[in-house]
Amino acid sequence: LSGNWRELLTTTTADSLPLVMAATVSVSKDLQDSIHAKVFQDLVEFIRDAGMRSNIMIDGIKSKEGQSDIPTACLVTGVNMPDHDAIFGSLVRLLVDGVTPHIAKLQSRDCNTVRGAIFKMISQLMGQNGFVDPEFEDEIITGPSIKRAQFTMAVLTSWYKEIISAEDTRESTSKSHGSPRKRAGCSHKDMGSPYKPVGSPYKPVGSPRKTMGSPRKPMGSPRMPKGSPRKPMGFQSRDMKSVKDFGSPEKRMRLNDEPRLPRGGYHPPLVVILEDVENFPANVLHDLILICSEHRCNLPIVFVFGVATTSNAVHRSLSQDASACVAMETFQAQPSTHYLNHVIEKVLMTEKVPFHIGGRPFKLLLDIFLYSDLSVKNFVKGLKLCMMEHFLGNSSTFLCCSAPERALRIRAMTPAQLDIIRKLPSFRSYVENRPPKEQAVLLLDEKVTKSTVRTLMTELDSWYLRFCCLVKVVSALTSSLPHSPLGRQIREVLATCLSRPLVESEEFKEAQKMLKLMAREELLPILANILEILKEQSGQDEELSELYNELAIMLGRLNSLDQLDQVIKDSPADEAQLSFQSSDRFHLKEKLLEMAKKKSKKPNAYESLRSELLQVLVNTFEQHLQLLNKQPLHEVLFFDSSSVVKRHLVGMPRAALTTALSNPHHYLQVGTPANTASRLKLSYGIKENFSGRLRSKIQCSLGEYRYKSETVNSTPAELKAQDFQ
Amino acid sequence: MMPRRARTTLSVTFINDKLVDKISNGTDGKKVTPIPLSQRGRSRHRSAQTPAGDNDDLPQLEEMDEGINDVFFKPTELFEDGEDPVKGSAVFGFRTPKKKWGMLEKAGSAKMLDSPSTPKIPRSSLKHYPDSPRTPKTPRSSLKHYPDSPRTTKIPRTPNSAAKNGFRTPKSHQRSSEVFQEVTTPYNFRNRVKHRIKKIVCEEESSSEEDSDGSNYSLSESDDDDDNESKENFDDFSESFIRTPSRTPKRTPIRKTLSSSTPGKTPSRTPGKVGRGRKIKDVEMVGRSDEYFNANGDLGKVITSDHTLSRLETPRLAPDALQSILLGVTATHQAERKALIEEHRQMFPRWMTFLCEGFSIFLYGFGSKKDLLSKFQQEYLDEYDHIVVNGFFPSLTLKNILNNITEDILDQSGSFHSIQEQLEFIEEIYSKPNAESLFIIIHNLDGPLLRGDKTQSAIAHLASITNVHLLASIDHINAPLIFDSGKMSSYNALWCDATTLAPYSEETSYENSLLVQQSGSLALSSLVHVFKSLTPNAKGIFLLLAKHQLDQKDKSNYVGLSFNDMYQRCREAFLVNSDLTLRAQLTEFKDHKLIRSKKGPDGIKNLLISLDSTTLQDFISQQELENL
Repeated sequence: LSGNWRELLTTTTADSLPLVMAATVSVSKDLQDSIHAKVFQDLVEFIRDAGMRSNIMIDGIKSKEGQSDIPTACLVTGVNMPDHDAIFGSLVRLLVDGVTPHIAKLQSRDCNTVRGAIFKMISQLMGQNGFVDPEFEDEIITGPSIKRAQFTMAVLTSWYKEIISAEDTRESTSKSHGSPRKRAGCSHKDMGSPYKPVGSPYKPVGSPRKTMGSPRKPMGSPRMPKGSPRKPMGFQSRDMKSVKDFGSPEKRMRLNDEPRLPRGGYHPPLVVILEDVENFPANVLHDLILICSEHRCNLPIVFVFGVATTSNAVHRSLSQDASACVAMETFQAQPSTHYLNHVIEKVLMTEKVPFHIGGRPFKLLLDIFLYSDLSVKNFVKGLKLCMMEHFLGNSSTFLCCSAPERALRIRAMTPAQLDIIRKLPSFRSYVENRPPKEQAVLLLDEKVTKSTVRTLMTELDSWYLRFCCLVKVVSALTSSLPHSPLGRQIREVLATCLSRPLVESEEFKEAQKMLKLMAREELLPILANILEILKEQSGQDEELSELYNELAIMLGRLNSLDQLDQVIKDSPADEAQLSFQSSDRFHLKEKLLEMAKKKSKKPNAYESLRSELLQVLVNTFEQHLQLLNKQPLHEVLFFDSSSVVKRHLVGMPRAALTTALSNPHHYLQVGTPANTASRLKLSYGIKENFSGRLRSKIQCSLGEYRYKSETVNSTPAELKAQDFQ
Repeated sequence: MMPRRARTTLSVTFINDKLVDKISNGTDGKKVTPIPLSQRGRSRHRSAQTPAGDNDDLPQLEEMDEGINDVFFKPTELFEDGEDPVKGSAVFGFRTPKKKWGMLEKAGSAKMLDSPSTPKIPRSSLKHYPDSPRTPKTPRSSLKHYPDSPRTTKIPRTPNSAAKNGFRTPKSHQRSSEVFQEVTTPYNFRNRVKHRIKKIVCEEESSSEEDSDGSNYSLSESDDDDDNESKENFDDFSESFIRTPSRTPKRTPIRKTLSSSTPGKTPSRTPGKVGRGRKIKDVEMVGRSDEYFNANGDLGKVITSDHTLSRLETPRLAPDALQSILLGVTATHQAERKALIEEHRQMFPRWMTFLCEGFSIFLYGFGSKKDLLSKFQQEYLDEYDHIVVNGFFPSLTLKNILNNITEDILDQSGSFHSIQEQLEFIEEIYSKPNAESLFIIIHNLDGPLLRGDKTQSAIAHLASITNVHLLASIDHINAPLIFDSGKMSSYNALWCDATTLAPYSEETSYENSLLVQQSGSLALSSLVHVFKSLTPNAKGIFLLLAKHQLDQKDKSNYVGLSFNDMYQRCREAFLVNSDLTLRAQLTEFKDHKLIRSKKGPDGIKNLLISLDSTTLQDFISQQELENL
């Protein structure tokens, strides 16, 4: 398949496009996990804790109160629905790794009825869907006819009891045999990776549905008589200990034999994840909760609600008795803008991904993100599209690859490829700037061109690095200003810098004005911040390290300003005292005015230092934060056309229809409309309820025009109701 | 700086020649969505002036006036930076320009080819102006109605605001905005214009006939009525332009270059393609939700045309008559349409690339896209598994589609418990990394039976599977409403404009045409047939009801004759003697579907003949003839 379309690309670009895209996608995936690491950590803790507590309950204390409360984690995810799937995907992975293999992930689209929801939940909990072992795939393929009626809570309860007892027995046997621990947690379900049954003995268990009539049966081989009756209290204390000992490092639980031993009574909780609680029909949710709470005494069920708005939404949609059954704890996921910032920093502002994006497409993607869906997934999609357009539409992109690879490619450049490079406008203007002698050589001599291209590309790379670093500096410098003329986020500064030279921009001038009035207390932390940023980069770039040194010296001076200040302040004070001796009020006034003038004329040490500092920064910005199209060969790495991308990302069917109907010449490209209008007669009707389609019959009759239209004249709400129900 | 300067000068002369050539040949087409220069400028300033302008204003500014708000980030790129945008107000309020005898006028003007005809303005673009009269007018006259029209000329004189404007205006609006801003915006703007021109040079090959449109257009515009204004603008403009790097003395050609910069896009499309001389510009839309409500929200002002088909001499034709007429129609502009399709075909490789990269493709635009998709299917999908779904088919269900996949392609005959299960099964198979690719082509993803939320989410789910690729077309004007953000993200769709202007012959074959007589003759004949078998009394009852209904036909809210009234009348006419007999008769009518009875709000049964008044009239006159 891939061979087909890649013919389109030259052989060299064919290699780099997938590479670049894969890099982007993997980076953003990694970020996804790390962004939510914190909240996931908390969630996992919570679930494990809840599991513990319910174990205690099941095992022993039959106290009535609190029993029906289902521990519920309410994960507030924000409104970017498209990303949620991925978030919950990584949560499931984490849970499978650390806490429990029994996870059911429910989506509202599967759960229109209580029956469907319960079926889905139980079948997933018992390990049928979702995390299927490859060995059992055949079974599923051949046997799509699962009897729904067999999935009831009673079956689940007895199934879970089997697990517990089986586990307990294994617990005791493994103590004596020292058999591999891996199997312990997973014998009866064909779970994902960590739980893959290693040996054959448990395989039949994988298909409990076949013999569902007597759910205990399949457990046959591994099952042993229930372990010796335990004293509830004793176990409780052991459980508590295990929490302390093994709570935090999740992986150890499974991988390490030794620490697991005392965990005898711990049974993994059943986690039910409802991805989009708001979308669930209220009655389904209500019944589901009540049913689960009914079985709470036997099953350690833990809910995880994915909520897009606020946790209040859950209570609002639930009736009193249902919401009384859930003990909810709210977890706040990181907002997606946060994620986006990381993506931008890690993908766009780095040299690791050779592809860079120009001002306009970047702004477009940001706009779509901020104003339409807040979805990082879509942002990455847009980025992918930009890359494709870049590689497909620009023949010079064969050099758009990582630095070592590029060196090879430059060496292997064919004359045709050289020509492509030479024809790049930015390269041409570069050549024109050279002295005439060099010009000829550059255009004719292959070797010289190659070496020039090499140096130019390296320069471009380092320029971009410097650019990104300085963008961060600008952001640090201006983000705390009142009204934030340049925006509070790095992305906004980046968008500005990419689309126009920063120093000349209005926004920067505004910011500069305010910076000139900044107090020392404010300036010092900002400067420290800037130095921090520069420090990271200064190793790689000379100019940045120069700047770093310069600023470091200034920081020193600023810090040592205290003593100087004293001296300066003293002298005018003396003068003032002198002047007060004259007794005339009029004179005094004049004198004071004079003094005021003098004072304003003479800046104190801090002020002069501040303006010096600003001047240094502004000079640097002026020098380096130039438009990217001033850089030679920028076409190779930068994609800077938003219209194509916009066309694909933001569909405009309505505009196209309007244009085609009111102005067909746009598409037909015939002479003047006057010319064609006499021949083209259009009779069309748009009628909503009737046909729902634009209907066109192009009709020829030489008489008068028949022209009719019944246009849509309804409010959007009506439209929705009429058309799409 | 220097080399660029040199380049720009070059470019100007080059395009200049070409344009001049074209103009002399007289082959220029008309501008798309011609919003006249002056008007555009005004609309911009107007919106800044409106009291409620805050909302209106925000997205237009690239940067806020300092200190007004703490709002930093404007969706400029998304909302306004089309190269040649269709105005949102034009689209939302899309109505065909209707004016009494307007079409005749147009036809008349068409005869005089050389007279620069008034560009057609999407009227509705004017309509949302609160102060503009709603009646359609020619742009000229309507221009005069704006009290603030001179504002445009004022602008250049206030350097400050102009400078700001220069910032705010994105490139796309240059044609209008430059006029005012050029003078005072010192460097930044000039710079941008230069880039623009430079860009044009880079893509000389894509310079098009359409380039001339703009100029032609603006010329005709400038000799429009508002002489002072446009002249002044013009002067400002050219003056400023002469000051900017390109120091060409002539005025008009420069102007042309500028306008040519508007369509000069499609940079990444052009390379390596030979196609026709020029590319079709993409329709871009500048649309915000406010504009939709401006155009549609005010229901009181909604105007619909009274030019209905029934006003024609032969409003409706018999189906076969229509067919025969249509057969005789030779499609116009064959060559152009072919070229259009050819151009879309050149996108095929790109579509294929997109599909293989996991995107879905949605084709929109006027005209049947079935042939286009079939061509794509033949050329690219022959070797792959693919299914073609005719979404317009009136009895298509999701089950059919899924069965198609499981049975025909996967050879899986087992029955599935639910659609969900079937979907999962398909997902199971196609999400394996080494699975065969499956391509799904859906003609009319917005077909009547695919619109449902469940169906859509199922298809979206299908499209999100790794090795399933979806290529779909969309025709309904409101089709995007069926996709919410979740579905859109599962579809992972890219939009492509695939306007073909081809007749929807296959798609509409399952639907009734507006031009066909709606089963009228059939209804009449069946009515007559039933009527003949009735007893004289029953006939009388029916005629009584029919006549009453005809009397009331002008009342739009006529709900029917109430049963009690009916009974009274029938008694008076000696048609029935008891309540029961009447009921028996009415039951018979109902059985033959001659009448409907409906309970009104007051609980009284109302009787209504479910035929339109013309058919009824025919029927009655026929009966009277027979009785004579």
